[in-house]
Amino acid sequence: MLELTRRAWLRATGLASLAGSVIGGARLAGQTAGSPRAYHPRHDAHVMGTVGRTSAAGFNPSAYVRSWNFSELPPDERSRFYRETPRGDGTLLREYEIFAVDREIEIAPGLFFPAWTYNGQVPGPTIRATEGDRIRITFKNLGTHPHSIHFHSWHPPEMDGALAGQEVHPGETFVYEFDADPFGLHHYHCHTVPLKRHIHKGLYGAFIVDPKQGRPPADELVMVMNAFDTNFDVENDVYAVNTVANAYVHEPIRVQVGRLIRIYLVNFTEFDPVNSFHLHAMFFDVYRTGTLLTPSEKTDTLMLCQAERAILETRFRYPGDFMFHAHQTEFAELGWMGLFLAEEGRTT
Amino acid sequence: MSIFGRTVSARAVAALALVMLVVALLPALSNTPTREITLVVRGMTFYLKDDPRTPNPTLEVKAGERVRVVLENQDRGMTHDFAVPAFDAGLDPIDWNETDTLVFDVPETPGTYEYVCRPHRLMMRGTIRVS
Repeated sequence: MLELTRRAWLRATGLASLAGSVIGGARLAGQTAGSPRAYHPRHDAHVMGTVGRTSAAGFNPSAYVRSWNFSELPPDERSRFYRETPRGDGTLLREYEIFAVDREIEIAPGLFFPAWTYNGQVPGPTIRATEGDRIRITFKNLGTHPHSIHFHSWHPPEMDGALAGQEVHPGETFVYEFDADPFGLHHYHCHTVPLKRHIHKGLYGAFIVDPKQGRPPADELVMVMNAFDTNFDVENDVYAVNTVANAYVHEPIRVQVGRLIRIYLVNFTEFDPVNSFHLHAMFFDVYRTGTLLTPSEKTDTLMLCQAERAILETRFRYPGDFMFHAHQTEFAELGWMGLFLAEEGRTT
Repeated sequence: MSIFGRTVSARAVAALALVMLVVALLPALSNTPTREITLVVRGMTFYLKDDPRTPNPTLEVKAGERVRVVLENQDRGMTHDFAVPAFDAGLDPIDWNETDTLVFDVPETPGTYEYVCRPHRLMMRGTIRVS
């Protein structure tokens, strides 16, 4: 039943590009469209993924993947949402303006999802600090439901955003303040009930805490595995990394051969207990939660439970295209698929 | 001078012309002058159409004048409105790519008043200065 529903949905949205191959196949076989055989795609079609592109005016996964602390914004606009002030002990006070707002977002070409967002985007802005920095977040709820921000980090219970009475109602403001600790890869999400809906609607983001001594220089990428239940039957219909199905198939992530690549990978898939990341033709070091500086394993496929995260490091040996995707192949076929394009060039 | 073969005095013609001119101008004279302000919404912020850099700008108007605010919603996927609660004036929310117009009369009392996008008033608010 579920499979049938999925297939019907795929046909309807063109996610698997069936339509083109159907017409081609029918013409080749001299059949009239509408006969049962005409609906079987040609086996050499090998088309996987969405047809067309989402609007450039919406969320840009290629910008998001290398942005944190609103670095994608021009300086004057950025200063409205993020400010740094040095403190006496060498750490920084980092101030953020985060707001919750309802927004219709395009998750596949022509497919819109009525999201609840932090700052109008899903995932929310990536927050990044060095351990010991003070984080101060002014949170305004401009949405239509109560929301909160719950950080995975050390913090006093007053700052948890999850306990009874800690939801911030529409039109209200709350200031979260705590020190960035421990170093690692963390995240934040709304903790208002019903929790699965508040998370699934889009209220989550990555939170990176760098160790004081830093990590080796690398080309750094933020990847949040997420999914969308477009018909609200508590089953996901579109899967992605960074929201837009197949975004990095159409616009591969360009990397340099030989350069250290560091991926901050977070799983925010609701409804499915696990998600995974598989990189073709390569292996990577895994730093689970990023809280230790020595890798715990070297693999090419990593499974993460809901809200689990890991830092992955590797170097491309060869130039060319490298697929990465969930190895739950259903997720991959429904949008959680991307490409790296490795190029020879200057290495760092 | 003669019109249609009748002799009329130049003075009478001039008087008639003056009356016609006054009648023609009457609606314009009685109408309150209208100031048009075009606001664009982008990134949860109001901007004047001809000043895309000043967020939530102060709108300068004159006491007693009529104001036409044209609201253009360029915020993809978001719904916005424009309202001046003190004047009891406001638009219904519009979707992105939509435009709507609000006409209201500025009160005779100089001062500052707040304009807002009602659903997003924590971020989208500015001042109307009446001089």
